[in-house]
Amino acid sequence: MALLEIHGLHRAYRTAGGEERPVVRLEAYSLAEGEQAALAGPSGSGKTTLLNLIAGILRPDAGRIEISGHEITGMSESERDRFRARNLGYVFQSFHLLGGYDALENVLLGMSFGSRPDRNHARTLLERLGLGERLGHRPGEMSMGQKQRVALARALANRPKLVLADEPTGNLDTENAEIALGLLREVCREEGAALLLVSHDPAVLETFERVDRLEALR
Amino acid sequence: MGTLYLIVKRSLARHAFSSCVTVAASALAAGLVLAVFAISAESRRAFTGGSIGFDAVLGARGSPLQLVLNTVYHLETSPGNLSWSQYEAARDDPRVELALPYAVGDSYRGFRVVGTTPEVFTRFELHEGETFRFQGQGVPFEPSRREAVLGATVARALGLGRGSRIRPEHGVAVPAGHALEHEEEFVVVGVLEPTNTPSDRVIWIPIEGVFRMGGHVLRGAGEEFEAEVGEAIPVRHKEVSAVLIKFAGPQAGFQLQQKFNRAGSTATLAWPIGRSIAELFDKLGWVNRVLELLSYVVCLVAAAGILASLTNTMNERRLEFAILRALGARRRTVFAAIVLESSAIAGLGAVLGFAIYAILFFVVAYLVEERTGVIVQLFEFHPAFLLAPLGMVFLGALAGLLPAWKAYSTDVATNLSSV
Repeated sequence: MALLEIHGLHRAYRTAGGEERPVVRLEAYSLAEGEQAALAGPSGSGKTTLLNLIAGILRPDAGRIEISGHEITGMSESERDRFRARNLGYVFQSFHLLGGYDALENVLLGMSFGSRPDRNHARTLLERLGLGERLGHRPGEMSMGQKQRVALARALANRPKLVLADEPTGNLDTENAEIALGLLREVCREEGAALLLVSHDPAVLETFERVDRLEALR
Repeated sequence: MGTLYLIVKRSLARHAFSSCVTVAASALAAGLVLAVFAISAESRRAFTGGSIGFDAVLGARGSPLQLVLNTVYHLETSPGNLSWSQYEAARDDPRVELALPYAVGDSYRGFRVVGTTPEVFTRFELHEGETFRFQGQGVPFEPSRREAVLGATVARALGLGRGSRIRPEHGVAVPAGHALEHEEEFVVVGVLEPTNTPSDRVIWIPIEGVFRMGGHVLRGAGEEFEAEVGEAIPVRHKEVSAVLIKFAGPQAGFQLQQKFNRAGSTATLAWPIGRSIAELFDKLGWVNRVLELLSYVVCLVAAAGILASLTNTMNERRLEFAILRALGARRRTVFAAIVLESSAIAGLGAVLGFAIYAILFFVVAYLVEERTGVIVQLFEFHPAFLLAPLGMVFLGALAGLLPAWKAYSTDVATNLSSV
């Protein structure tokens, strides 16, 4: 059964000169429950914009996005926020952890907008990702690899149906990238969450059985 | 609410310096508002509502306020004298229960000397059924001897006690080193228990002692008369500065006021005593208005400080808001977080404002007691205790609206991708 279905998606930016420049054009795309897939494309091909559209952060100019049968393109901004908090996890290339909060608080804060924060679950997730000793550490006190694992825990904390990952290993060295990617895929599998990862890194893409190129989907 | 609390707590901690400065400014503003309103109201209450044991003061024709300040609070100078016969007329009036003659004009090391009769210790009641009480073995002075009774503050401040000897100085409020001492020496025969009234700052001596003090000229009969040692003073020459009166019944005030304050009278009856002081506070009302206005301005400045401080952090916090939004926080959540933060700064300031208020109050209360003997109560409830913190929090919330709008308007995608 399809978890994510996209039809006729279109999003363009208007330049300063008033010219409309298409960023995302996607005729059709779907992802099954629990499936893990990668979307490939060079820089500037609209990968991040696509994830933002799926997450409901942006609205498309045209087209439809359905997640678990809910058409998020028809929702109000507030409803999309609520839907995102409850059903989606988002892992960013720059981690985007909140600087003033420790690892546990970062995860709890991620949970709090979708459900009641479960401290035990947050702690278990961080321990599962090897951060049991780092619960009280702030991002500034952690390595890049540790930060990405906190971001991963935060994305998975609400038991999302779909995890969106935007170049999640882009800021990591090869060794940490492998570890982070492995953990991301493993934990998503354990939690039963589907994973949609965008990247231009061949080393990352070759680990996925399903890789779609954005250009081919237009 | 737990999430908002966490966001606010962390933000305050991250911007600790600016948070402390804005909290301190809010505390100062709240403390000032509390002080202006509460001290003003409490001072008025202490001066106009406290028990002083008398209903009215009879004195020379002039300002009732000056008469009250001089005889009850031992401030200012006496507006003039009454003849002894005027005192006797008041004393013998059936509508008067007690009339105490006061003769003032001398002092001792900054404390005023009051000449009166021993009835001040035996018949005068500060409160219902409560006369002055003596410390230890103290006793009232003998009217014919050079004896003195000290108020509690005088004894404590000057280190005097039973058996001490004092020589009154001519005049009141004479600068140290310029005092002209009388030759007559008075022996302290008693020290009164504290009463928390202006009486604590008085040195009581027999009125005859004032009449007979060297250099004192009596003009009760219109001509000048100086008392000679060993010779009685003819009643017609005696005069008093004022007569403190306790009425025998509730109608006496109106009747005696008409009697003494009629046109052509040489006397003034200050009644009710509290009203004279209230008129003083009313006259000084504009000072209060100015202070109130100033305190409001300080509140606005504090709120502007909160606004500036939060606005300055908005640029660096755009990413934070974008992340929160990406995690699912709604626009109204980040809006509420900023308004709550500004309200929290103002609220913390308001709480600390009570400490500022307490400090200001202690200073004012000390000065008032030091100069008048009147006790003002720190913890007497005033509506400002509720309204000032609430108003400060409201102002803080208002100050947070603009930065909150900026947070509300944060573009998530743009700010997330700008890093």
